[in-house]
Amino acid sequence: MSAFVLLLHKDLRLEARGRDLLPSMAVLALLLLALGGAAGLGGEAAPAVLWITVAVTAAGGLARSFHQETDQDQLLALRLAAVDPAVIYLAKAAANFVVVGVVELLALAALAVFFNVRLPAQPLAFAAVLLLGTASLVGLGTLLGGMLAAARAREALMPVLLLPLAAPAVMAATGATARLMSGGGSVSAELGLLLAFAAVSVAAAVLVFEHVVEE
Amino acid sequence: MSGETGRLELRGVWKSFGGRPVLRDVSLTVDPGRVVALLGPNGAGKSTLLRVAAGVTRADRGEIRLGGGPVSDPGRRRRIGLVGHTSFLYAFLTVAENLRLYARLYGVDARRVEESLTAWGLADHRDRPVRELSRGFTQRVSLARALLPQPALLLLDEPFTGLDAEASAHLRARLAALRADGRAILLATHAWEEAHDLADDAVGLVDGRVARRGRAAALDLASSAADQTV
Repeated sequence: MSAFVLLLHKDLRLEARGRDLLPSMAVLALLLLALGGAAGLGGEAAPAVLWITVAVTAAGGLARSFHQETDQDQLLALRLAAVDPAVIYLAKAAANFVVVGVVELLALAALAVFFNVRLPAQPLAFAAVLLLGTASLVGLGTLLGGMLAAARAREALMPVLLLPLAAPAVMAATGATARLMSGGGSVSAELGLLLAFAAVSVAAAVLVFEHVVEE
Repeated sequence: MSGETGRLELRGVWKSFGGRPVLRDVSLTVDPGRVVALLGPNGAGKSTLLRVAAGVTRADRGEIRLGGGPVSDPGRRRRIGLVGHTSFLYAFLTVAENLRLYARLYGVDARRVEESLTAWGLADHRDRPVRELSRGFTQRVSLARALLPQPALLLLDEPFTGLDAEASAHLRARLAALRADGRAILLATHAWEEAHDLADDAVGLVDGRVARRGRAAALDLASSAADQTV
């Protein structure tokens, strides 16, 4: 079994047992969407509320995603075992993708309830927007999570760093979602931007993560 | 095993944190089949020295070689077993899951996990999450994890902490067997009796400098740490 599969399996198992990220992220997402619904925001605001919710909850969760690698210096043990730092990053990003993806599915269900919106007529394009939007946020957020792992104020710093840096991806995802929900037009430009953002984030992280895990 | 693979050499190693020197021009050698005790009070730099020797903390200056090559080489780093103040274990994984994870990362046969669980008296606790273990049992798992890949060099930071008499006896026996098998062992401790009983050589570290070095058997157990001469 490859180190990537071992670490991904370990991360998902730890999340399933420790529930470090998912419950708090899900509660925050549902709360934000419920507040939006209670404030009387209509369906037109739904795409923006959805992506603000995903970005804010991802920032909160990803800040803690390396806690389980640092509380007992586990990252150091992985380095002693000569696990490629890029593999450590990719496995953590994949696990984070699953967690944020689950939160996103819950958020979509809540969006349907609180904002009375329906699935867009182009489900494949919508799925691609969700996939690439999440990959953009998670790709960058996991790198920042690793960089902030040793910082005492990591949960305060993460939104300050992630939200402005990921703004182009969040804006593209919001624009594409709005267009798909209103039933009009192609979103290929936004998908291209999201794909480029995710690819650059992941590629940059793979290249620099060795320095991130250096003490 | 090959006599050269576990030989640790530190030459003129310096390390500072925040401008404060923690290691100052430290040089020492641990040969295969030898146990070297690293003695010194709290804050002397023992733990930092072990991490620098393991290649997981980068020295500001100096040379660290394992088996004749730089310890920064990942392939060489895999030959090191390190037991530190933290356990390196995942709290929400069971004892067996932790050991299996590290065994697979090192490419170690699953049978060794079972042997290790039995040897360290952990068989009855194999399915307990590490977070539910006492300090002593956690330390047993840490030691079992470090020894799984049969490291050529073993770096131990206060390894007897938290162990009961049975586990301490087992660790002593394991260290003796590892030494006989040609492994190099660097043991940081402030327990002079441990150094006297287990080590061949002793190095005294004070304020990050090697203050004294000599035969561990020559340690004067009646003297206080402050005026100890090695």
